[in-house]
Amino acid sequence: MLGIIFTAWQAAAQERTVSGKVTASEDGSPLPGVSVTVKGTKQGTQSDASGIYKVNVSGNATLIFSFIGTVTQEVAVGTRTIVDVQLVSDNKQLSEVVVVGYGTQKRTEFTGAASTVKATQIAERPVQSFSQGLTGQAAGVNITQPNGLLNNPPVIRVRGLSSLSLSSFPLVVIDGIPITTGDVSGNASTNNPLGDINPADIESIDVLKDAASAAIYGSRAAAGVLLITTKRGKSGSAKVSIDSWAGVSNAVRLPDVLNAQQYMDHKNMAIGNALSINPNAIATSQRNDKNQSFLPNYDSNGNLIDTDWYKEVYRTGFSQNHNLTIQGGTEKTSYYFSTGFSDQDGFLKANSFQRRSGRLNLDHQATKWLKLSANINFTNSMNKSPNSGSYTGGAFATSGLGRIAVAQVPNLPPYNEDGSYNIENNTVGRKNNLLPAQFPNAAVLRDLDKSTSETNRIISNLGAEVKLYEGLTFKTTYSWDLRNTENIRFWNPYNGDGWSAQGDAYNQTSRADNWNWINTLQYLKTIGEKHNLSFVLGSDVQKRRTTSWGAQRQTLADFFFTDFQGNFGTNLAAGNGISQVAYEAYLGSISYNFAGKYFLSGNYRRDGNSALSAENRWGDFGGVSAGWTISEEEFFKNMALGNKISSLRLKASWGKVGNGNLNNAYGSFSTFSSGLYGSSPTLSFNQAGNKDLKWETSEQTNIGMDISFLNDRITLEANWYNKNINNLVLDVPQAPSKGIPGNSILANVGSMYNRGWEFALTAVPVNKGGFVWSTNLNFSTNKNMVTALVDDNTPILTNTSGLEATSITKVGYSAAQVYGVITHGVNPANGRRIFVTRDGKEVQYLHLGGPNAWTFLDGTQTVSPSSQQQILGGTLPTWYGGFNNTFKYKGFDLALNFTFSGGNYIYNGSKAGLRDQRVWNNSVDVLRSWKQAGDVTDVPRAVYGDNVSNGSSFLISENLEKGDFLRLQTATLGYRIPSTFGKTGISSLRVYVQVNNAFLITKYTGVDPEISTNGDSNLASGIERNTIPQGRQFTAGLNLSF
Amino acid sequence: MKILNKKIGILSLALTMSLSSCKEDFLEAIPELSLSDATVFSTPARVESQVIGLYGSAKSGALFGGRYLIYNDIRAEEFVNRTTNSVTGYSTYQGNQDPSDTYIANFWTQGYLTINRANLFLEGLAANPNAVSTTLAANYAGEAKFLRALTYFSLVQFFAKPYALDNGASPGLPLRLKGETSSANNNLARSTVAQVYEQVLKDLNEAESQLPDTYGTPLLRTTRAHKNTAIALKTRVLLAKKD
Repeated sequence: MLGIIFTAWQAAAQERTVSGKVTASEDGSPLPGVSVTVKGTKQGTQSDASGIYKVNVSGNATLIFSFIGTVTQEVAVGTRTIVDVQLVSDNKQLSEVVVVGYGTQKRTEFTGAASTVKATQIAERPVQSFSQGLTGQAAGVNITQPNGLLNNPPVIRVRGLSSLSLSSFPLVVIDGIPITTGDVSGNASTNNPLGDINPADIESIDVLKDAASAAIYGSRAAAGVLLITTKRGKSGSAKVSIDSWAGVSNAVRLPDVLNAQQYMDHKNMAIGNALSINPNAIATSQRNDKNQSFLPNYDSNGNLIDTDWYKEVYRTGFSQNHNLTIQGGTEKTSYYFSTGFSDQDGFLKANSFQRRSGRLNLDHQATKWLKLSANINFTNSMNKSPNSGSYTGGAFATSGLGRIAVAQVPNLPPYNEDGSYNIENNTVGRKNNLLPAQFPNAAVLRDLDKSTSETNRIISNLGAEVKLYEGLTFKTTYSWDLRNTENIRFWNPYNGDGWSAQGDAYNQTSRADNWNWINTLQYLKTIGEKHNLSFVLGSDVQKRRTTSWGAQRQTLADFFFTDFQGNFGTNLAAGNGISQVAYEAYLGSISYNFAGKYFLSGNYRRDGNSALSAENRWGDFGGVSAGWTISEEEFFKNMALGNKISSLRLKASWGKVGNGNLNNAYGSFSTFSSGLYGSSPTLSFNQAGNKDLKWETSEQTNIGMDISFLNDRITLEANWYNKNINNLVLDVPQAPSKGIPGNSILANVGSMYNRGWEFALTAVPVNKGGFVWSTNLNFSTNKNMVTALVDDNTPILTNTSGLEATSITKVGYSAAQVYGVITHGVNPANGRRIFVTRDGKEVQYLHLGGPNAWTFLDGTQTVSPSSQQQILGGTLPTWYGGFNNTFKYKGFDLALNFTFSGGNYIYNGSKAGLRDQRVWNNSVDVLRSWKQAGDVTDVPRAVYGDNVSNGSSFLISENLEKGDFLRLQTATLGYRIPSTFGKTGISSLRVYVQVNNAFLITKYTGVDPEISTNGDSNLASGIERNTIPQGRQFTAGLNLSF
Repeated sequence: MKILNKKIGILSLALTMSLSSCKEDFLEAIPELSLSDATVFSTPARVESQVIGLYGSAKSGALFGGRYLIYNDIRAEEFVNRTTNSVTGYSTYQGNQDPSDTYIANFWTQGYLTINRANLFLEGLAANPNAVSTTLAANYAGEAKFLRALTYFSLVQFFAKPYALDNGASPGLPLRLKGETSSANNNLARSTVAQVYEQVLKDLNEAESQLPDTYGTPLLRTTRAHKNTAIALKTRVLLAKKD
């Protein structure tokens, strides 16, 4: 008794109160809810809404400040009574919490493989969509922007290609609800539904990579899962922040094309060469007495007309973006409210993207046992674009501005002297030229054609959390994602796609109603202090119904009309569809750890999918993982090494997931379509269904290690993975003589694997005298290999935009190899392109050569080698990553984010067009074309009309190039103005400037090595064909908070 | 702490594991814009729609609605390629019907799609004897056989050597006479030209006996095959055979 009194007295004697304010080092804003504990005791408190804390300490105490998303700081109190602390946000990979399926887990207890990207890495940068901010940030995640067309859906691959026929795009889950991805536009504008999410609202993105973590998403997780969590309010007085940026963007790396004089000289030379081979090659009416067909045109001042078509197509695009956020709350209720406005003009003329959005996230602790939450997000996105030819499937559009900009005849003006458009039939007018041009006038298309896609979208969630018993929580969430998209297209009757129909309008509206209801029961229990157990049981149902309707109207009654609503002669039904998919799933997961040292977890999901036949509808998926935190072991702590290594953990996982993202919601049915023959109804067999179709399955093993040194100053996460994909759903080609609609039937036949390593190194190399350099290097490798295909392993040939056979997928190779004819340069003796047959024979080509068109080098006649294609090279990068650096000194911050990728080839198909010897303009390369015997050059002799020698007719290896690159993705320089704002109420102000795509180091000669003419295609990646380039963007912005 | 409320607890568990929304048919998705193959013989109107669908299939732009005429014009050398066109119809112009030419491939595909639809229709008609009256069934079968004959005759002229060259001994077409809806039967050897002609004539003879003499309206008389149509085509086939 006496002892107790004595102890109490002693404590009281030395006890004193320490107080202070905790703020964020980034913006000086107060941090509420920071846990403040006295080291070595159980004493502790939390900071209040204004970041103020008070704690009692005794003696020589050390305070530990910890807060989610920041680096934990220890501060020795000494004799001080006021201790103010600035917490640095924690960008490293081993941050505290990982959002996993249906819950969160502490990073230290997580035994799968996931990358977490925080808001600071994505939102605080001027990006159009979050995927751009994600580029190069996470190991194992490779993101490609197909080109510079605004809001063009990105290509995202988690640990390589996940499928051949189905989507390889990861499942995207926003606050619990899986949303659709892909392009939802029905015309030349692109409309990426992920662009509907305001990047500024995103708190974190967690990428589930290994099957064991993703398996809780079962049949939908084969391509990995992106879990997006939006920001929520924190209790405290309202905090207002304003983020604004404005910038300009320009097209970069456009090819150098011939000017008018060079064009006329070159093409006339080619005409002469053609006539020397065949005197009748060019009709006499199409050339003058000097055998010239391309003759100068002059303006009224007598100047030679020399049109830079780039100026008609490209511009300096101006963009601005503003966000206003208000957040705060009481102890019981917190709110996050934001509005965003983004108005972006592309470097492609008439291409723009506008997003207006609002979000309200609410949390309310109604009673001790009931917590309610609600999110509502409304977005309006407006996408406008002329036909760029740069959307998936558009590469060969004759009205594609990307192609016209380089290929249009430069000695012809866009306008006549009187200011009217220079047009002739469906092309630019030929003026003095004796041969007609081939492409429409870009100015007409740019001004008079329109394609827009506008989305109005509500994503809302309503959730309740009921605490049933200590450790037992029931959670229910209903989410609703309603998207209405209106696609409007008008093609003018003067020039371009609407010319032959004398005006063409196509409007379509689509409505996607997507709802999702998740119920889970979660139990957490610690037994005997060391046994930590948790389990989750749940169900998840989702239904998505997409309906669309529209019409196409042609033949304008009067060219006065420029809208669908005008008067037209022909009216056709178009763009009508109904599709419905339902998912039903039951899931469970269990995890156990002993004393934070040994970890075991498992999960299971039973999934039903309406797109499969009743017999194959249900599938079972699951995974297991284990981990061992060696650094928690006594023996390790006692080792000499233990001092240097602050934590060390080994982990392994295995899981099986599926891919049921079938493109066809009714693929198991054999169906007849209804049509019209004249005015009589018809019924025609249109789909051979397959009732045996089932899920693609992906089994993945992951072995990893997390290690950190020097008090977590250096951390390394390394993972090895092996992903075997079986039962690949493939369009099994049918003998065309069977008359199966589409000549193919879906079946589960193929298999492939992805294997690779991932490393993520995070370090703070310098932290001295106020100067902090923190760096993150992530590096991933991927080896993709197709191991089985249809029946006898028949390779799959794939077209680019339905016209050009470019790609082959074959057993023993990675998917999507470039497939073309090998060439051996140009014969110095006669300037002809040398092609190589499969048996190694060299064949040369003489355009207009008649029977001598194809000869062996000794002159004997042979046949075209066009069917002698061989595998030229793989298009999937085998290594990629990012190198992100932040430097801070006093108020200044500098961020340099590099991305790199390589090991792949790109087919530079645009080069074929740039060297095509038809009426098209050429790149300056042709100036070094072969002219006389003995010339050693890579460009064959120019013969007018030659579309074979340079790869327009069929693919040639001359145009294959390596795709390795290093890019300075973003460079940002910011300055936080010291807080001397007095009574303005401003608590923090930062200004910054940024360059996007600052520089690119590559040997690739096309517009950009990060290109995907075929969009998200699995089977025809790595093709560049007539695509507009990427832009370079300069922005300046400010972050202001009150 | 005790369980707050037993009712809430039970409700929670019930919600978690069973699903309200999950009526039995939650996962049943029936196509709403196309008809299942099980229903296309269920009414006489649908049967007739299928017959008309066969004409629609034959009249596709890839076949008799366009390409058949264009390619034959090109083969007849009624055109000279002056404007250096090297895409549409070029391989026909060059005289090499290259299967990698998508236009040629589409022509072949549309031909066989029409043949398969005719085959499926003939099989379906036989399997559903009460779908329409016996007379109508015979008429419809005659129309399907006529269209199958027309398509085979056109394809064999295009993709094989002339019958007259060697009395049809050269390789002709794969002769498909059974409906195909599955992945089976991909391999079928080409029959000879003579065998294809034999089948064409067999179909036309049967069509001649099954088709009506005429139809009630001028529209039907000009858009649907009747007895004389079969006879007219037969004379052309025999002409091509030099019989």
